[in-house]
Amino acid sequence: MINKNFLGIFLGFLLLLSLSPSISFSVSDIAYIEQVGIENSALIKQEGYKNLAEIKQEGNLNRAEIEQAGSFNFVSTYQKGMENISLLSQKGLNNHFSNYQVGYNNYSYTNIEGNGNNIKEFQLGNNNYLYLDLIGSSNIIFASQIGSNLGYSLTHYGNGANLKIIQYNKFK
Amino acid sequence: MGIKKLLISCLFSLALVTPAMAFCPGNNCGGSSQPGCGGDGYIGCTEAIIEQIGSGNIATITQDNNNNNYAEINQMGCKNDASIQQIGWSNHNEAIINQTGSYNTADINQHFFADHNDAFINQNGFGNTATIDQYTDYNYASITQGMGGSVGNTATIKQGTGGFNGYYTANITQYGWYNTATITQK
Repeated sequence: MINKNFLGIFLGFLLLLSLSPSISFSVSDIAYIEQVGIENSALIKQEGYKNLAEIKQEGNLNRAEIEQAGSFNFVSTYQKGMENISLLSQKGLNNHFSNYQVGYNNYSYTNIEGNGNNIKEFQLGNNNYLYLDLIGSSNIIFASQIGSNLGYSLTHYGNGANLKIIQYNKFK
Repeated sequence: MGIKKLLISCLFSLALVTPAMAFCPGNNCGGSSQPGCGGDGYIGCTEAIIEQIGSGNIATITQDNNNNNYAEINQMGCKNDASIQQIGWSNHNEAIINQTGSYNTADINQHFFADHNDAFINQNGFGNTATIDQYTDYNYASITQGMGGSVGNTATIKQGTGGFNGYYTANITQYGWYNTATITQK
């Protein structure tokens, strides 16, 4: 019989591996911001085709924001620390999105309007919250949260979504 | 003692400006970093380097309507201003600004039909501002601020105007507190 605790940690690590902050897709445009420190702010705006955006932040009280209007976009956000905020707005086709937050009191809000989106989100730590507003079709969502006092909010309009939400209360 | 103070004051206040403008004579310039330089109708192949030590200095390099150019500005001190403009039909250019000190401003513009250009800004200190603006395709922009820790730096990269093919790459790396980074690609 498989231990439930072990299963939860194993699933978390599987998702962790799948959310590597380095994306190796072949795309035409690349925007990358890396910040190490406290109370930093990063913003990426992309309009056009085949864009890739990535923000990596280590520290506390940081803010990462990405706005994409176009198609074939990829996004990756990585935040390690406390009280960080990740914001994403996507409007277009065939977008991918990966969000990775490690620490306490982190918050992620995502708004996606379009088709063929693939969303992966992972949070490790206590008092973390994920918001996802999804308007479109053929979307796939895979979210995992490990910690205590967790929150997940999903608003979905569209067809063909395949959802998988895991919350593992490790630190109870 | 008085002479020492005067000497030290002069060393800090004196701006040492070395505008090394090595224009390309004939068909041989730039080395391997500037392929095709000086041949088959290429115009340009210029190299400009400015170095300044002191505060409140202004350095500007403009390379207009040329290809295969190289521009570099190095400044050490506070409240300095560096600007490089590679404009017109300007392809395969490279612009570099290095600044050490605080409250400095660095600005690189590679405008109009300017493809395959590279722009780099490195700033160490606090309260610095860096801006790179590139219009067309296949361009690369990189800004690094606050190596070792810093406060209150701002980095901005703009690429494209929406009417071209794209193929942009933009990188911003910042260390420290209260920094702001913005990338806009169209």
